Amino acid sequence: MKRGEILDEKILVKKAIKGDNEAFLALMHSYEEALYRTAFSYLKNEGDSLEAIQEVTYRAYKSIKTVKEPTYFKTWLIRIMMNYCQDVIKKSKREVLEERILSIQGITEDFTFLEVEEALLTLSDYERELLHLKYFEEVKIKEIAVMWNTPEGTIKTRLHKALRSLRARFEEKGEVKSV
Amino acid sequence: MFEEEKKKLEQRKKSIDQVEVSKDKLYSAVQSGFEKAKKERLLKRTKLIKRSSWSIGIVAILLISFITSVNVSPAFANKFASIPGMERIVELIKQDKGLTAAVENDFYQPLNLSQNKGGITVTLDGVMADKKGMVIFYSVHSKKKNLPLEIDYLKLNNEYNRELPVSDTTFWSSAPPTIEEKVFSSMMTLETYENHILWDGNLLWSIGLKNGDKVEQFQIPFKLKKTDVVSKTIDLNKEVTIEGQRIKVERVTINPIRAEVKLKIDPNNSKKIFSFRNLKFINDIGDEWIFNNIGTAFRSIDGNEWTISLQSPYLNNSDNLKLVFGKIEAIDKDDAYILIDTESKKFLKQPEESIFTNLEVENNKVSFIMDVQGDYTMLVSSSFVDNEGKEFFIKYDHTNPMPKVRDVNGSLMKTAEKGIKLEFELPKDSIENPLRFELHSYPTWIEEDVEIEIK
Repeated sequence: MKRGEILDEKILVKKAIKGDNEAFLALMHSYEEALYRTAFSYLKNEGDSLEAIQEVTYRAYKSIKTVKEPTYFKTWLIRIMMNYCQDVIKKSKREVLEERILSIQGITEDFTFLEVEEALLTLSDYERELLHLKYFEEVKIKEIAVMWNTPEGTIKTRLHKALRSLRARFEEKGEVKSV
Repeated sequence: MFEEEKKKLEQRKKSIDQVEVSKDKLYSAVQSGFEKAKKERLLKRTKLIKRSSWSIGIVAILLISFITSVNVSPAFANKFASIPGMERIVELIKQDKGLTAAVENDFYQPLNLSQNKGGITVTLDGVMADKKGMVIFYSVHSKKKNLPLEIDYLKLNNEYNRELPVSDTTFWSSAPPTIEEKVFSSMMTLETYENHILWDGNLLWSIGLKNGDKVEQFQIPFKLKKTDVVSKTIDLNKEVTIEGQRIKVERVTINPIRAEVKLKIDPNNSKKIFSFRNLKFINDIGDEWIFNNIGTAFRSIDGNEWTISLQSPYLNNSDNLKLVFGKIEAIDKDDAYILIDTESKKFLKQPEESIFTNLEVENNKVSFIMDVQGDYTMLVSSSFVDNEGKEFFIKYDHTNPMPKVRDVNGSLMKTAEKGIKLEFELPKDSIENPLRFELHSYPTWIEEDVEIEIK
């Protein structure tokens, strides 16, 4: 994103916080695709992901006044989405993960993908959120630190811990297979 | 370190980036979420507020406005055709049989005093007063470019601009209106505090009109002419039993503007009474005097003493008058509260056929919906108590700050389905589930209808 665009966005966010509906909609439309991908990474199907967009737009509008750092608006939205998706997944735990994933066209053959998804699901919400922000949304550690009001060093340590947990899951899987 | 894990995560991202979706579908998903959010307007300054707010030692309860049509007699219409602005006043009070009769019988004092500022003219049309209360009629004339205007405040003070022993009951049952017409007329209603007599003499009336961010104040001094109106007080001390609930009608006081009924409820009753919103006077020739939008009700904190004011049968054309209770809003005392568990996200206790729904706990916020079906009355107390007895008040945008109480931020919203959504933050202090809210209103009724002879 160019510098000018960032500035424009900041103005839009400020307007939206003040109750400007046009500004809010402009922002939502500019992030709808990013939000969709986040939703899809959790929910794995189009219908649920579109519903998630609707719900997140609703929630964002309701709590727009709580945005503290206009610069991090996108990440603020992504987090609302992640919270929503985590809730949805918890509510529908009985559904078999594999079935959801297998319904995705083009990805079904990809074994790595399945493996990663399964491993991610066994992590805590926090660890999953952290890995998702860093490696999916490509949010900088500094930004995560500001948002969570936690020192950067701590975030780095936790990120390592999350990666370690992920590795442990992969290894577990491997062992099971080799039996 | 962890290169392989990182690589796998990146691959995951690439896979999902390949997923395609139609722009149109995304666009409409955002739009429909936005529409849904917009429909749930924040409830501000409506009757919900008053119903749950505290005033000096008493809980004020709001009652619903009823609209009945009372035709104005031709004699009445002719009599006032000559007084400026009178047709607007007739329009304002035509739903109130008591006030109409009061105007017909010369209790109305025309004033017609104006003040003009920046294209807005405020006129004090006239006033009506008795021992217990006062009604002030006013109009706002403005050029179209000044509209809309909001009524920021209404005040009645003594001539030195000091407060009088009165409570303003004007906007008890509805939000202050937004003035959108070039000529707007309305009235301010006041009641004196118990055992006080309304100021007699020089008074100062003020109105604040808000246009954008700016509030313009208009002040009009006037002299109130003393009227020797005698209150009719009827000591009854009659006890009635309605579906097993004992209620004593202690006294009825009838003034030209309002009539006041004092009730005492037996503390041993099995039901908690929420309101007597169907209380009315009737006579044998078919006249009715009911609660209307300026009727008020006070009850003591323990809920056992009620003072209810309604339209006045001061000028009754019959020699007979009855007080009728109608349906009484009440619930068994054992059911007069709800319990919420924020961990299991469940109502642990709620009335049978409950209209409480959609309990959600998320991001430290608790919310639930009261399915009031368009009757926007707050059903629960403005505070809750946790299992250890800690009380937390819910602070809304419009609540006055309350010192020395634990509070949490909250909001009330209208939902698209005509319900009320209550949302509040979980306290920062640790709380012990469940949380208990007292019911303040609930649509369950004592159906039996009881009448009492007044005279």
